[in-house]
Amino acid sequence: MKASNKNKLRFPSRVNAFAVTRKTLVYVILIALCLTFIVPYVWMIASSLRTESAYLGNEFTLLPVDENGKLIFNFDNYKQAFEALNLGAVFLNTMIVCVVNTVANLFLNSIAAYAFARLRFFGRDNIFKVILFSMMVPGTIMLVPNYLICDYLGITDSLFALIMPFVMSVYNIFLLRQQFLGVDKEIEEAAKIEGAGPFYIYFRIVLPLVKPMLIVLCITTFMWNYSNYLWPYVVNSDPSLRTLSTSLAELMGTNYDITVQLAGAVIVSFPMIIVFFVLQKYIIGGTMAGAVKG
Amino acid sequence: MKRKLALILTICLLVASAVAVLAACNKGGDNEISFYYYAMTNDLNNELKAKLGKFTEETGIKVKPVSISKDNYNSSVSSKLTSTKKEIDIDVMYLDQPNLAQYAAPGYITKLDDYITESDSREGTVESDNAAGFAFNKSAFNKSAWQTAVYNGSTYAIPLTLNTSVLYYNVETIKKATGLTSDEQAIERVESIKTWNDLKAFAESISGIGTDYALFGGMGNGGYLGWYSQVFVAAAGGTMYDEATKTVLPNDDGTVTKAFDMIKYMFDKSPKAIRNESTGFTGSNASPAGKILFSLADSSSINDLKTRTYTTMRAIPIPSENETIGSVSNIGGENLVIPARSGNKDKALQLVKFLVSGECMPLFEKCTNNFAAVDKYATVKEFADLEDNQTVKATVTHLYTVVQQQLASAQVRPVVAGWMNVNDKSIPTALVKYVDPDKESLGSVDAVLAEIRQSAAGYLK
Amino acid sequence: MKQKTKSILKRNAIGYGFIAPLLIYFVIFQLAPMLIALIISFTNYSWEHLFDYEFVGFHNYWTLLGAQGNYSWFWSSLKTTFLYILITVPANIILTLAVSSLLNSKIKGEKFFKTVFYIPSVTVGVAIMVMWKQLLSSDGVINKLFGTNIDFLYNNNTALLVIALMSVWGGLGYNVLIMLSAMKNIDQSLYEAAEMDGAGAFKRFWYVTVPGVMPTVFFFLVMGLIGGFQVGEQMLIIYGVNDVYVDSMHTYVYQLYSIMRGDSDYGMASAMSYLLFLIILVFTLIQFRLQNGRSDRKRRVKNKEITANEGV
Repeated sequence: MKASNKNKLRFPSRVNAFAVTRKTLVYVILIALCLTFIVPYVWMIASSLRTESAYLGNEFTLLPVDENGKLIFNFDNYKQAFEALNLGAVFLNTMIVCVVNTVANLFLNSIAAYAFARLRFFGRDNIFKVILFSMMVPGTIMLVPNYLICDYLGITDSLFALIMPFVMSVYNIFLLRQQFLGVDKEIEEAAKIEGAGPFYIYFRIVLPLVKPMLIVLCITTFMWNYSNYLWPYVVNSDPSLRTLSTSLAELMGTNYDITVQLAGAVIVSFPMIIVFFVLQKYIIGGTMAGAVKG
Repeated sequence: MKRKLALILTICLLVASAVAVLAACNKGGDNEISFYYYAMTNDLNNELKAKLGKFTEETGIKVKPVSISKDNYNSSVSSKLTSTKKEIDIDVMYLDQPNLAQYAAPGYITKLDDYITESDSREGTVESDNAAGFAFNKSAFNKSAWQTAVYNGSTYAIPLTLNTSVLYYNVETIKKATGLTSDEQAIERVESIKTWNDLKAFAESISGIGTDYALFGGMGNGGYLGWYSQVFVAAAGGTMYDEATKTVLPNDDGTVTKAFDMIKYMFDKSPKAIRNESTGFTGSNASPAGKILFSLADSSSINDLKTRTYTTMRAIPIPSENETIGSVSNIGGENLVIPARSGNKDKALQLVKFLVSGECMPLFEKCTNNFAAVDKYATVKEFADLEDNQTVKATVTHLYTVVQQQLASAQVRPVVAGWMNVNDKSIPTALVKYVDPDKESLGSVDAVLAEIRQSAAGYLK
Repeated sequence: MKQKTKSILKRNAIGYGFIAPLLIYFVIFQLAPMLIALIISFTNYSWEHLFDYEFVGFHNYWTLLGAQGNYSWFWSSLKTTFLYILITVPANIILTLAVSSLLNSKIKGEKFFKTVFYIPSVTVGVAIMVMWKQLLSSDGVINKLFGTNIDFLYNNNTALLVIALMSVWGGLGYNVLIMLSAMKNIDQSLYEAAEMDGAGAFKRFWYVTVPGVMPTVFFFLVMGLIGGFQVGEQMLIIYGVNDVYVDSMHTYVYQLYSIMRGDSDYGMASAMSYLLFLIILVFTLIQFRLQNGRSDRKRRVKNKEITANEGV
């Protein structure tokens, strides 16, 4: 091995043979691993298109086939899942929560972050420190306290309960403030001299400069709200207020055919997977932004 | 361009908030009452909605049907009941029998004593001799089911459905284990088992028992074990709870010892590898695997057989300690209750009356796979859907008939607050240490009882 | 002078105007809930005492810590949580390191693999559970593939393990992404130098890559600990509250959910939340301490820049 590495340039043929086997091995491992990620999804889609009896009777297959091995597309599962999930209302609920939370998050977080990054006022840094400290309290721990306050405010069993505790996010403020700190100050100074007010500067000059971050936060906030299960489950017991996640969990607990449950899982999960493929760049960028803090 | 974007975003925000407000406020009119029940298939749901439509036509009361899956039901409903709102929007709801005391003790459900009467006739569920216009006729209901609705001397619920456990077996497995060749012989052999000694003798006659065959499956080591332990205690002539002395599992006459020893015997003869530890009897893991001789389960498991077509399943009533006691079993099922903070109690009562009528009872039997709590409706069904498969139909009819037979001797769980926890936690946790060869750490029944009672004391406040 | 006071006032007014929504939000949904929960944790506010609750002092805390009566599961739930952490954290780190270094070996389709591994991270959690619940059922695909008949999720020997593996599977894409960027940040000249010294692939991995990504490994370790203590949502989705059959997966947070949603014992649930908060706080502080020590120099330089920027 030592020799082969050292003589890389001089004896390409020998090295190549070794490198090729190694490369092949790497590919084999990666593709095998890849299959453990792709197969479950393909299986889920295929099964969601089969009939219950074929699903129960047949051996493992990745194709939507019936008992005789013929391809079938049993969309009745989707129809049933659609009804069982109460998809119309549930989708509307989810969208209301996602859109309101995302828009509110972008606006409210960014003005607060801007203030902490650029405006000067009494006690700014101390307030920021206190608020930053709350980042150390994980969401799981806020569950009971937030439930108690929502009950106290009388907003349990309403969409408000899904919105109000999440209209802002300290973590996003933290990320945005970092971004604002990185913005060149001179542009702002120039605008200030021309007599522009602070809101004008924030909205028309600084905000456009951090647009990539805003897009990332927009997507992550939306996705988080879309798939959030725990909070809606805890705070809303009214079935008419279910979101996609809680409705799917509910379907999971009923004795609907397994194929229908899988169809429900496909309906609920695939919009986000498609969004991911379209907006991959930003989502992966968002992951990195989130990890930088570590 | 940017201004436009901001404008669009602002409009989105406003519209979404407006919709959110509307959605939050749109909680139904005053004239509407809501009925909470277990989720079921679309067909049954539509059938129920049609019935409720009929009710609305007759009485002018609108009903909002709210279905929640059985798994999430208790937690969803309890979260409504423990909100501090003055009025909650559940008016009539299913309540799993053993939870009644827990709901009744803090006053979360309405006392119905004023609406109950006891007539000599067992015919009508409802008699018209009361200020509210009617009263429920206690005599029309199954006696055991009615006992589950009574807490501290007051009635808090109207029984809807009930269920009980029997001993299932697969003729094929019995034939294989005993060496008998014909179905008739095997069935005759099993049906001759009336007492525990019969069962033991039967077990001993099988050569591979405890190694190749398991005497039973489906008792688990959790709540089912707690529930089924009652079967054995009752079959030995004992009780689970003495109200007067507040003793859990009084054992002065040694009945509990007998029962626990029988359970221990069954565990000893059922290798862990064969009996499925966690799940009860379902079509997929019971006797068809060919190794489990008997399975304790209620009638809700029968439904699985319809789709899985195991046509050799049969059942017998549960054997007892001696013949004088006769076969006894446990009870499960749903009651209807009206939450104390319901805003429309009178209308809710009207709905309860409608739901326990002959109009709805067959539907609830279908939904829950249980039997109607009103005796005259509790019949083995026709199974029109199985018309083209007579073998399955015969099997299912036989199984339901045995369950119905067993219903007459169903023993009620103690109606005390916290019993659910004793059943699910205290009893199984301690009992397993005595009966399960793998977890053996308690040497005597007295030690088990001491542990159960200590744990139960925490739950039965 | 007056002019100056006015401008200071105006400046403060604008500043507070900008953070007013945050302050309101912070008070209502962070501060007040924590205070209310703290107070409630000293009461018996629960199913039985919704309108007549009273203060019980440290009773809830002592009952939990002493694992008294019906809370005898307290320490064993912590044990289960530790077990979960013991499975997931090393598995996460080892698998992530392995996969990342494979992806980092200048192969084609790196982006494709990254994308595929990331799919579970963007799949709705409940949908993943629906999928795996069926794959792992006793007559499910996994059993068919291996010719076994194990009810993975409902067997006390396997339940926690498969849930842990499920979460490792689900988190791999995210972790690989982070690890990979850390690997790419390692100075390439270090590899070249190692190669000059005749270090083989494994040696290079061990002496260059591993030290280079140590901060990231440390990040995974701490995040794995903090996240591991909060595990319970998967269990909640699969088993619902108050499960009594598969007690080998009863983690601390699962019990917390059961106490809250199943038993509606808010006093006890609040006390449990605070105890968990203390545990996590300890780990967070350790992380802060170690991190500060590690990047103290870097940070000091950075802070200087920031103050220089702000000081205008």
